Amino acid sequence: MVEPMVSLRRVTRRFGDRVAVEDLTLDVAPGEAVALLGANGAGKTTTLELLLGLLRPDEGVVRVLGTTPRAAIGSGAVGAMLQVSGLPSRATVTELVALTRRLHPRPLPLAEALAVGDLEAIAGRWVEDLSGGEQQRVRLALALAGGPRLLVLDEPTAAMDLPSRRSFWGRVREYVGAGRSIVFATHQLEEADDVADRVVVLSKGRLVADASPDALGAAGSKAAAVCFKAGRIPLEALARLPAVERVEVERGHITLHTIDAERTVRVLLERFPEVADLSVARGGLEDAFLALADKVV
Amino acid sequence: MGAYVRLEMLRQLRNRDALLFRIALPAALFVFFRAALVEDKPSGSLPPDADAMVVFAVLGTLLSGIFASGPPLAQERASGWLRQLRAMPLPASSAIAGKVAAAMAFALPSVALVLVAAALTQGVRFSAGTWLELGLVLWVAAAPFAAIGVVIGLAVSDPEAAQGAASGAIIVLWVLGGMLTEPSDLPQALETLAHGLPTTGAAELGWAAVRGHGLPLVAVAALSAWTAGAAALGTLAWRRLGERR
Repeated sequence: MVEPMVSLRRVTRRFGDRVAVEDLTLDVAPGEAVALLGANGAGKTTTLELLLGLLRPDEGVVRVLGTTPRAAIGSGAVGAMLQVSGLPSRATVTELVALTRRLHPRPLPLAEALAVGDLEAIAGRWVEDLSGGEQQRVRLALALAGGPRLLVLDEPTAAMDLPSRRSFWGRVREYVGAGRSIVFATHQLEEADDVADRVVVLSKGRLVADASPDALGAAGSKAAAVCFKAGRIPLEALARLPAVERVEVERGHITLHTIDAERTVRVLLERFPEVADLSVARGGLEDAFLALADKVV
Repeated sequence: MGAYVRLEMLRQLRNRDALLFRIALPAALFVFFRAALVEDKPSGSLPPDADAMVVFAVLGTLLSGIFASGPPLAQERASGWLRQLRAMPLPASSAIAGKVAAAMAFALPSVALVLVAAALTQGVRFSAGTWLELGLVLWVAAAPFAAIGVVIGLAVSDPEAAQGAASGAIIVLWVLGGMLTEPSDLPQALETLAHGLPTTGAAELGWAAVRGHGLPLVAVAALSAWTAGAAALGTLAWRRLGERR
């Protein structure tokens, strides 16, 4: 078997009383692009910081390229774009990219490192004068300038509009060829779907699903929130309807979170004809997670 | 490592506002205090303002060393840049060395300006060799202050609090170092403390230089110990940078 690029074995990390990542086991193979998908607080950032060695696990073992995360970083084989990372003031784009190259033993040529962030036109500017989008491109260039075998990106496109997002991932894909892996965090299903070979769904620090984007999409497409008015139906009865994961009541409106809208609605109307004002909203991410958690694990 | 040190120095020297303030202040204070409170101590053949000149040059190394390393480091930590650096193959020791070296780049012009002010306004005269030695020892004496600044910048996570901590450290080191009073005027316990402080050590280096004495080895040892100790603490703090909450 090929040695995994990243391997987490039963990793747990707590912050005080809060468990950020719990009993997480995960391998990333060379060449694989893996999305960590989850809502805020699901443990995505903690997972990425554990595999960068920025955090130490309370339990379990993290290995990167067959060694410790810190040793892997030290060898220059890892490039990272953290979720929150300012850039230092009074330095130009070129100076920062050049510094990053000098720190790594096998960097990209400078021109290529600038090109990967589409930075040629702003190479001489002070980084503090750049727009948010431009700074994000600088950070991508810094993550790639060292020629890493493993690229770690924490919600890299969170602040981008759709066209910027497309061109961002276009540039990343161009760079990531055979044998290089990407692990990235996102809370967007579409992004995971577009970019990743594999989607790992985290919820409350636990791995709830590990599937191909296709499987995720199939599960997500059936998930839905079914909303209606109904006076006197006992909530327990609703919770027992097929495929229902969760029931919410707000000001007389009942919402059923279901992993299979069709099955749920069919039985709902059959048993409770008094249901009124029924609407079905396409599955949100949360419903897709629940669906996956049920089906795929 | 060289690349990091070089960029850090460049970035420091581009900080014109801070540079002007920190470089000019000790020289300006020296001129002001010497004009306002002229009270020459008998000092043999020594030019009358030489000792005071050393004291204000030490203020230059102190201000430059601590202010140039501490608050900016806290700022970079708050912005997340230091964590990004932690995700790069930059050894902790190189990072600390880079910060200390960059802060010291600040100290050199600050010291030089005090010496120039002393020569121009107070008529302090020495041989070229003595000036050179004086400038050099006082500049090198900025190392412990820069290292202490690094520790402050890494230990105090809030940039404004770090600014306060840096100012506090400067005042404590300056006053307890006996820079405004004779150490013998301080209470006994403080006098003992004063002898171990890097401000005292730096001043002793300068006073020895103006008198043409050899290097005071006790002062050199104290400054080295402060530098090594603070740098070691800074390296430890750097290694823990990833941790949050």
